[in-house]
Amino acid sequence: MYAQQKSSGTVFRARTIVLHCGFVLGFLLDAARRVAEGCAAPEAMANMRACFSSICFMAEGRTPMNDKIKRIYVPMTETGFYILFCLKEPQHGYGISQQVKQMTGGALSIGAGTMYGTLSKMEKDGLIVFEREEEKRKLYRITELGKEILSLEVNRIERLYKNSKGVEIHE
Amino acid sequence: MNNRKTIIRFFTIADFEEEEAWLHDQHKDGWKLLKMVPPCFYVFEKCKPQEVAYRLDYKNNAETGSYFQLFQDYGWEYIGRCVGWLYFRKAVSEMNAGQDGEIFSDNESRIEMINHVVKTRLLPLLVIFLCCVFPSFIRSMETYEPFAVVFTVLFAALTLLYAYLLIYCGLKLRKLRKRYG
Repeated sequence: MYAQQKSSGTVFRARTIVLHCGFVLGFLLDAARRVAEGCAAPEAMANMRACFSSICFMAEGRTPMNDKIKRIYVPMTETGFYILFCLKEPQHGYGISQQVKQMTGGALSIGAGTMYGTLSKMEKDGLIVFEREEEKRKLYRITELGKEILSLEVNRIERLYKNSKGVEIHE
Repeated sequence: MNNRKTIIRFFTIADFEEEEAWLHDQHKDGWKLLKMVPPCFYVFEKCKPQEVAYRLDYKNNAETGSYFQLFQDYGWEYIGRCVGWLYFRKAVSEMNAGQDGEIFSDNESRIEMINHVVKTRLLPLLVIFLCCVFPSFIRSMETYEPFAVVFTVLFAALTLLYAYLLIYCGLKLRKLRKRYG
């Protein structure tokens, strides 16, 4: 178990180093091109700052991964939306299904297999997190990433709704 | 004392919907599924004829207690598992709405299950066919030992069986995926 963690840590570190090297190399090449073109120094400085901040993002291990997950989940299915929405409060699978039935007046009922599959996938992708277990029922809660994706969805649906009603929107 | 029967019936990995319908018909005739014995033995017990929906889920790895608890909360009775397939049933009289009779409520999750079957069952079958069965068949044809004919016939039969199953399941699963896609 420890060895596994250690090796996966090493792999992650190696990947990070490779990515950083790529960034630094890209920056150096870019800077060299700019110098060759006779560009002024301030621009190179701004470029360096931009590069540095992107490295910081990379180190947090967030941006590229999250963009991929956002592409997968936005737009999402009605089932996915309601599940994520209900998990603002800790809840288990069957509880979510009951809540959704109530909210939609019975129009949307989520099957057991669909519920289990969606929860597993969302947990794997970091949209929700396992909170605790109550009598063999797993309770989940939304994460920051999940909230971010949910608000993207809400904005998209709001725009859709307003446009369909012919209301002008200003963003 | 004749309140049990065992039926041998073979369903491929692509025939789960036919299997559900067949089990439903058996229950309607007064035979409820008691257990499955791999690969293709169905043990039934006599019961009151009833409309009961049977549903199959496919999970390659061992499921935890929370999985079974979730299905139980939904009113699904777990019967047993057989080579990756999990058997559930629910009486039609216990259902509130039409959708209650399904374990998958959207096409995305149906397709996901089919993809899971393809990845963990159909592809390994294809690998075994291409790496073991078919090469053995070719090799057995090229040897001239006394018993080689026996092996050739055996491997020819296996090759035909594998080829038939692969083509049948491949086409059927593709058709299912298209229907839900």
